[in-house]
Amino acid sequence: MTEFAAPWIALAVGVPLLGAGLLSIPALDAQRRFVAVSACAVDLVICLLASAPLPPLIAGIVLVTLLTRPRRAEHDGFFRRALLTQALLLAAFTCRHAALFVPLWWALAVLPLLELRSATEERPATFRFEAAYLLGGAVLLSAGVLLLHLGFAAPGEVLIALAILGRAGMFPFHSWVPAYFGRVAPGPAMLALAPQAAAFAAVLLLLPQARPLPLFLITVSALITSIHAAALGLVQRDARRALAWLFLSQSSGVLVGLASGSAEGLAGGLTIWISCGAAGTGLALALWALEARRGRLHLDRSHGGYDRMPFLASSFLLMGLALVGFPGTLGFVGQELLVDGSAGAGPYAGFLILLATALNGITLLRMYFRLFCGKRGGTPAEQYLRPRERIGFTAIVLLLVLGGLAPRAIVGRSTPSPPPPVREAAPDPGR
Amino acid sequence: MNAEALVRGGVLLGLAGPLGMLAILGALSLAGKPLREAATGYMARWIFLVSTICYGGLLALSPGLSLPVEVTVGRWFGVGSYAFEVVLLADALSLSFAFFAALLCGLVAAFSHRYLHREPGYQRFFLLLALFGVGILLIALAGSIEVAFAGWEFVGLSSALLVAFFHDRALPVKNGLLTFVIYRISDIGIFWAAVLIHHHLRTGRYLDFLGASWPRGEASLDPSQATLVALFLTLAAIGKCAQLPFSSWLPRAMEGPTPSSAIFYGALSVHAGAFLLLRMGPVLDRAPWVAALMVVVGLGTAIHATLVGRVQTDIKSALAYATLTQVGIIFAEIGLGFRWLPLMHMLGHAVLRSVQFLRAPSVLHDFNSVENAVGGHMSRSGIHLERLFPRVFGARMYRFALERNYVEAAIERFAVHPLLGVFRRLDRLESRWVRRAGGKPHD
Repeated sequence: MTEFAAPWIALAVGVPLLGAGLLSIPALDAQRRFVAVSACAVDLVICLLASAPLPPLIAGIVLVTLLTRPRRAEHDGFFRRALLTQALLLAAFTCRHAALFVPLWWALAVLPLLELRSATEERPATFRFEAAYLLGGAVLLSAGVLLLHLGFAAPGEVLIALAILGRAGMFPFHSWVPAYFGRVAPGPAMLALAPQAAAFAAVLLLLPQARPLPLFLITVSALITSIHAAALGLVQRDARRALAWLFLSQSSGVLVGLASGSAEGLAGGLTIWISCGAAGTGLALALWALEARRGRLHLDRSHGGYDRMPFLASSFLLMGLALVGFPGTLGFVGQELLVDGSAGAGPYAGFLILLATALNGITLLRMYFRLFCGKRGGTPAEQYLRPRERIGFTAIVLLLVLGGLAPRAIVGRSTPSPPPPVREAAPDPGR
Repeated sequence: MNAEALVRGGVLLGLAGPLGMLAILGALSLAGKPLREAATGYMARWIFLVSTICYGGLLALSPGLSLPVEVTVGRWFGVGSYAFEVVLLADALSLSFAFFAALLCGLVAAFSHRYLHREPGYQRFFLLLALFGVGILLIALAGSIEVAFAGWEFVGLSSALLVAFFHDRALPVKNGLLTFVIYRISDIGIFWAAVLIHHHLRTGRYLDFLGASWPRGEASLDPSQATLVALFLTLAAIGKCAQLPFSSWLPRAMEGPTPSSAIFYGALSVHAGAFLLLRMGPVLDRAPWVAALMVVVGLGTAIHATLVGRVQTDIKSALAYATLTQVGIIFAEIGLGFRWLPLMHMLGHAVLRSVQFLRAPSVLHDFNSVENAVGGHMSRSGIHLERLFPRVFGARMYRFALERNYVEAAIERFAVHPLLGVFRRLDRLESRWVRRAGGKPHD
């Protein structure tokens, strides 16, 4: 990965902070979407100019979320929280020191809780449940970094690995994610997950040392999550929860790839990071757009309305296909690299990943058919996707499809410098 | 121009047309600016005509060309020691299937231009036909398991979306989803076969691990490896070819438009699995148990389908079961070690079934014409067989066939419901945990 130079970091973090600050000015209240989107757009350009792969992903995710956010869903705090999230993520993703990363992790754990609080009007118990996972993970990370600092590397890295698993929603610490999606609107919910801050924590804190035990924990947990989440995604009746499980299952490949120790696996993990981030965000925003027009969506009946929203339906399908690694999309590139990269120790990781992919394809198509097909439906107002919504979805689709057809630009930028050798590849039993 | 350059040019030109059509129709559909019907119809017909000429020409010239010829399109992506090379292979098998695929796609495009005139989904149909065309040509011309896999996915998705073509009705959508579910479950086979091949051999190129030109060749796998790979490939083929126990989707796929029924479920898509197994013949040669399994599955499907087909009351369902019967026999032929016979059988069957499906909407008119020409009612076929069985037995057989030999009911009761039951139990455990730890999980 190309190093993100200090002046660029300052700009990239400062612009969304400035935007968040401007949103506090009462005179700009009527133009809050414009201010927020402008700050994001400028930040995206800065991140692209800095030539690192992940900061543009973060800026892009926040930008399309703000662009496509339904008007009905507006309430004052969201734009400010989104810009703060962007600034914190960019600061975290450009961190090189654990001591600086820990407070950013705490802040990134608190922001989703603020979103949850603003979204739910009752049930403080739900809040406690989510807080236990998110803040508990922050405590684990802090303790792990402290132990590292004190020279207790092995237990410290295990605690850090557990924190990463919790934040990423990996088994057995996954329960908070579908519950969170059930409570918070799809767009903000995906914003808490799609950037994969936990994966970056693994890159920063675990990969340089590459000790076997924490990487083994992460690999096993992620592989179990891929199957477990894929299985549960098949039987969901709520569209939000189905999306949550689908995303968890596919994004577990990021951690599998990062923990694989091979260049192919790392590149695969990073490519999946980008494709899952973009595709997951796109699906969440499409769901959000549908909910704004129809209310909460359930998958035990058909909603129809394809003929009124062919663009949204087609975009949903394309983004979903990219998420599940359909050939010709960026997700396929990442999946191929990941399966090959994780083959060193045997084909079993590849078997599980592809089994999960197969099941997730079923979940995706079930969602597509239920949400857009099955009956003539919809009101005349549904067909009017706003231009900003079209722009947002088009940008995501283009990234996923063009990135899949010509992936070298992304794979090349995602290919990391080889980390220190983790372990020898297992001898091929077939030879 | 030397022979290799001619083959290379022909293969690439034949594939470039459908790829271009897919890109154009896809981009314009997404932009909300579709072509006029006439333009779409012309483009489809001419593109598939060019492909047909390319592959037919190469096939006709094949005795004078030094086949096989491997066509390396380029490196799609790669990191470290891994590279995804797009590799195509021109030999007797691939050119035969590609020629018929392009020909039938072109005929169906020509038929559909009129059949679907002013149909609201006209553009969508041709987009999916382009997707299918690219997929089936990739399966036919693939020079590696990865390229075949990509084509396999294209064919599967386009099939499911065409079954659900009339997507404002519940039943086509339900059947489209069922088709996709079965495809996806059987696709696990090709996924796992590709992983195993790479794991053992570090290559997926056919010429590298299947040896010399088709049908001669020796797989670079030992018998235990070959058995597992062959088993997974057979799983994939069984789903795509609608063999037992995955045959329930084929009759339901008749919900789609007649042209798609013709090309997908009569001609090409339903033979894709058999084609893959023919290509992997050297692997099957090292896996006699899997070959025996194929014979059992194929013959079992043929018997099942011929019984069930006799009690169907609509022409497309009857044709679907007739297709199943023949594909089952093709499966058995491959399992018995034949290579040219199943290829000829497959191609002849594809053409015949396409014609039958395309004529299906006119079958009553055709039947009346024949009876008018004959001057009386036609006798029912199979009466001589019915006379062999006691009446009571016949009635039971009729009921048995009407229930599709209880195969679907058994699968649903002993496989699908228990598995979904496990998943739902896990979901309830999750909900219970969330409820206990704090609040209801969702509304």
